[in-house]
Amino acid sequence: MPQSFRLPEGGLIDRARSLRFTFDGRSFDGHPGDTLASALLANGVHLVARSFKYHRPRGIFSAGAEEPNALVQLGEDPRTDPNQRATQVELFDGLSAKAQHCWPSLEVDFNQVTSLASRLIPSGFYYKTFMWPSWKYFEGPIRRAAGLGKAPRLPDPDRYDKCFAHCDVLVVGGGPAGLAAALAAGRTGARVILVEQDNRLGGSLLSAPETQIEGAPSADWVREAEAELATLPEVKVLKRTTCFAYYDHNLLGLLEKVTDHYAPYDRPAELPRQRMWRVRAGHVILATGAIERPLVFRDNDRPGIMLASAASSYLNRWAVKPGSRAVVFTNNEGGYRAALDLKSRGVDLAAVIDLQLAAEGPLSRRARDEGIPIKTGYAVTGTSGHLRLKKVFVAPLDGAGKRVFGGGEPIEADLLVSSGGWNPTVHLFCQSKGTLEWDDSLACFRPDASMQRNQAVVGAANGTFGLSSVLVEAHAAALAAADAAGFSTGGEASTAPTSVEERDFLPMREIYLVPSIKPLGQGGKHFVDQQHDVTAADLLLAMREGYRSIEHVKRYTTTGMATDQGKTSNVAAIGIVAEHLGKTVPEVGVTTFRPPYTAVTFGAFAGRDVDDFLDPERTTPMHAWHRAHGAAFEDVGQWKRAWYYPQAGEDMAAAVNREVKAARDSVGILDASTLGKIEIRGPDAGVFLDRIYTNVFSTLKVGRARYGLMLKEDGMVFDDGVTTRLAEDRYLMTTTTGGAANVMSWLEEWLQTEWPDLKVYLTSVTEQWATMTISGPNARALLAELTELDLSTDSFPHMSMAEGEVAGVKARIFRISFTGELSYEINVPSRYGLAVWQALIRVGQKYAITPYGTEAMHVLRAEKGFIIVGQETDGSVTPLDLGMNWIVSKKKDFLGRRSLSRPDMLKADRKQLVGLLTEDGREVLPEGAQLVESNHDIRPPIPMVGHVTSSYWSPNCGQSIALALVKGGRDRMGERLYAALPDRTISCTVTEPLFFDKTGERLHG
Amino acid sequence: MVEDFLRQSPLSHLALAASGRSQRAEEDGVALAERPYRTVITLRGQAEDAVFVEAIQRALGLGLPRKVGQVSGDPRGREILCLGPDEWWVTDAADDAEPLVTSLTEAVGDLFAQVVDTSDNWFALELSGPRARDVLAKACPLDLHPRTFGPARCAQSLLAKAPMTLQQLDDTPAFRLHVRRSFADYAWRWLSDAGREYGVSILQS
Repeated sequence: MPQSFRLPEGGLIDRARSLRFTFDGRSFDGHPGDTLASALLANGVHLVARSFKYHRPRGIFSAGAEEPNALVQLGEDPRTDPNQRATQVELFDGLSAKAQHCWPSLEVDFNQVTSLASRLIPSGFYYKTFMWPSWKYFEGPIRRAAGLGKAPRLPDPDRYDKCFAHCDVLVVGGGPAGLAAALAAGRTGARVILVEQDNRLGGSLLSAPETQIEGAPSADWVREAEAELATLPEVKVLKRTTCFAYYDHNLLGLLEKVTDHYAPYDRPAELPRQRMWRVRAGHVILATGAIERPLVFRDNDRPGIMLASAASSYLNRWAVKPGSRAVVFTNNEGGYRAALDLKSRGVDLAAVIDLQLAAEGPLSRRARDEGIPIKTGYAVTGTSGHLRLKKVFVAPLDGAGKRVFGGGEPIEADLLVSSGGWNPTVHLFCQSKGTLEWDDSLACFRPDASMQRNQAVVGAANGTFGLSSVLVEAHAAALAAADAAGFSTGGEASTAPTSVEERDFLPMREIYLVPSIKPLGQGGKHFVDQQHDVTAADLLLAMREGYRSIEHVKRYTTTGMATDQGKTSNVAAIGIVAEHLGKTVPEVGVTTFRPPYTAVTFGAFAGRDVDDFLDPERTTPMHAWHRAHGAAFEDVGQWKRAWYYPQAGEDMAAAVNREVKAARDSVGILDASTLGKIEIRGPDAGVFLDRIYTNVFSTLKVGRARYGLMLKEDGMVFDDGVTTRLAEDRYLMTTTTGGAANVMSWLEEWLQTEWPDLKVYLTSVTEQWATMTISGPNARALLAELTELDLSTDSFPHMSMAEGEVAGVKARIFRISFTGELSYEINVPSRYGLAVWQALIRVGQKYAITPYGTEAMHVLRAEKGFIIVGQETDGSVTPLDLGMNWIVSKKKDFLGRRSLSRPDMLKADRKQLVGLLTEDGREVLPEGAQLVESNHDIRPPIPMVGHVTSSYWSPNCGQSIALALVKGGRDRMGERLYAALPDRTISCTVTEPLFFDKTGERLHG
Repeated sequence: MVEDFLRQSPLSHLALAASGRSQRAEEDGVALAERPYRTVITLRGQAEDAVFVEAIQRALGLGLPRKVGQVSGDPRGREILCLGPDEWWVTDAADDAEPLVTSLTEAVGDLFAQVVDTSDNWFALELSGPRARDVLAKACPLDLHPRTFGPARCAQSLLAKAPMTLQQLDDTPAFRLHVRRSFADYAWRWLSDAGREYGVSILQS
């Protein structure tokens, strides 16, 4: 298909190559350098979207990030992105885009009936209309009818990257101001990052080829600047990169589109699709330019209506005629630039309609000299044309700008461009909490006070519109930033580039709401926020309903709350509210700007931290063996622990039962490497442990081990474990797997902040040691085959430690038990963990050694009534509640001691640890089940007397066993309680929390 | 001394084969190497105690760095990393930490100090090449620009979601990254993925 609106020459496009793309199923051609919008316009396509609420036909309104209308669905599921601005989508071969939010087609959209009913659905209609019986009945259909693109349904197949960056000076914006700033700062040797959302540097200069800098066409200057920046080793230029967020202390978020512009078949596989940068900048220079403000007139939303500056961009940068016959509607001198551009590139210019009473600037004079018809003191009162603009109606305006005379004279036109002045792009400045001031002479908000140190706003973003002043200001700000960062300047490098061309749009006539021949809201709509379909009538309705604060008006009408955050609408909305309330614009004030400046893909926030990088999986030295032997794994914090080892045909219960039996009948082996281990040394180590644990460690003999409980200051159990005295001044503490890091921090905190007088050093050695526990009546016989140590109880009693070789590897062996069986915990340096484990397995064959996982470990310890911190405790359980008074010293002070004597801690009805046996021994109580005293009429509310903390089938007891916390439990021995389940109750009896080997003789083998 | 064949790197399950430093890694990429058996001894003590400082210097033949983040010694041989006001790492190319642990333990004697073999608590890998900083910038929030970091410097930070101690070895640049042993697989695979766009070669450990 021919690009019939492409100009024969000019533009920053590569005419030698054609790119084929589809829009809504139709094929078109464009050129490298095009955006989707410019390529569509080159093919004469204006209608690209239906509006959010009324499904009105909409066209391409702008040429940049401010686009409210031309949002398209890009690509196919799963590589699809909704709400992409066609004005920023770089064209590539094979691009496929669809119009969003219309059915059955863009041209015929049945939902346009909402437009006919628009009188019935003003702002806030859903607050009033859909309240009975409940909003929830209406939400679904309304959300389907309103809305924009569709999120992909399939998982995102692309890869994303995230990185950190640091620089002395971050320059946001690669237009004339940003380029001048980056050059000035870069030449000093400072580390500079220049960020430009476009694929080209140059900003506004790209659309104004006649501009001169340093006595030459500005394009030459841009090219040379880019080339020079490339030679500066400390300067990084990021194109296709949007600075979307500005946080405190000069932390800024950037989104770099790395491969989005490649044809799918050309996308380098090794590159991420997009990259998120988190930049910590010493100094920030915001050179974000300005966005043109459209005029708000009746039916200002038809395809074929766009910003005046956008028309200039399409003509100059992309060599595209945005129409055949144009009307320019302006309130300022700047509009005449578009008129001149249109005329010079061969567009039939029907008229310039100027709200000003007279046009006397250099541009308007040139326009008049060139014979362009100009109507000053006139207004556009309306437009016609369904899928494309056909006619523009104009009429003379009264002196106050409040009404028009006559019925409106029609002008045939397929293009209407409007200019209502310029808004500095202050979004990032405001995100950083900078405040704005209203500049009366420029009729715009511009930066006032900065809230960040080392920040400057330059150029149009600062309300500086003349090109010479822009260059001077940017240059000076960059030198100041570099100087403050410690980079001296001087000599040739410190002069600003010069320009003779002043680009100024003043004077202008401020009229925010252009009157029409009919009252507002009748016979047509004055759109303020085109993306959210908010009209001037909606704003006035909000004020009639009593809203005064602009923040309330915004929320009630949703103006400025669409994905474009009101880039082209906010000031107009404020202006209309101000005009209506008889206030000035600054009295009305501004709404809040929030990140992101433009939308950011979720994938970019996640980066590579997805799938198996979502959270690190920590593995023990024996992990590969567990995997090879079919272990199922349990997550304990970030650790992967072997849970059970199912053999062929076994389910979990069968595997666990087999493992539990084996550890009591012969010998089992457990990987306990994840237990936390802390080496403690110093003359005060014993005193320190006495204060940390509820029991005494300073009297422990060298080589002996003791179980200890740690409490928080509130008296609640925090961690437990065995601590061994390695030498007079050395201990080895073990902690729970999940608690290791917290315990280490807890100990360091006390040493560093409360007890700096104690001479104690701590070092974590959790992962120095691979730990394997062999447990069962044959544990001693097995170990004896691999070590020379004397394992007799006399020389190696329960709760002691010995050092010696196991399987040829130096080991620390602890004779401690968490199963109630004779147990040895063998610790070897992690590098030998797998070798020693395999030696134990090999030699253990004759004892039918059985590896057991954490589930069997839980059953074994529950048979003995040993607690697990975090299972029997939940941060509200004291040692007394657990029946562990025996471990709480009466003779010394320790953390949490005073809390234990609070009256509440001594109450008889506190929940206490007990055992439970079900009446039917085959029935296993669910963990977490609530216990009640009666089994009939148990409808809530009913007193809950406790809950089940642990519950298992015990193959060694031949019945189910459970631990529970029960109110006044120790006085309820033999009492009947009921576990209240949703569908039934289970009857059980309260017992001692000890089910197996009650005399404890098995410990000794 | 235990037979070498009994020991295992935490990366042994990946069956890494050295690819050699490719042309691309030389010019524009990165290289990864594991250093699973280097000696790492944690040393705690009082820097203001001249007797302690003297004892350590005599035992190691190296000055004890006093500023946090400083490294003294030879990064490929024996060196001391200052990790905190009273915490150091003594690392050494030796596979067997025991002789050094013994001599340090004897050197500190009854002083208020601590010497602990943590060689297996940590796992080191080395990342080098022209784009090493770019790869690290994806994982670590520190500024590693030559103006703010360099050889003979170390820091404690994060490698993505794993706690890390890193040190710069030379101006290649080459970095040695220490993570807890259980994070070895995560760290290696994460860096391999992050380096993909520049090309990653694997060097002999």
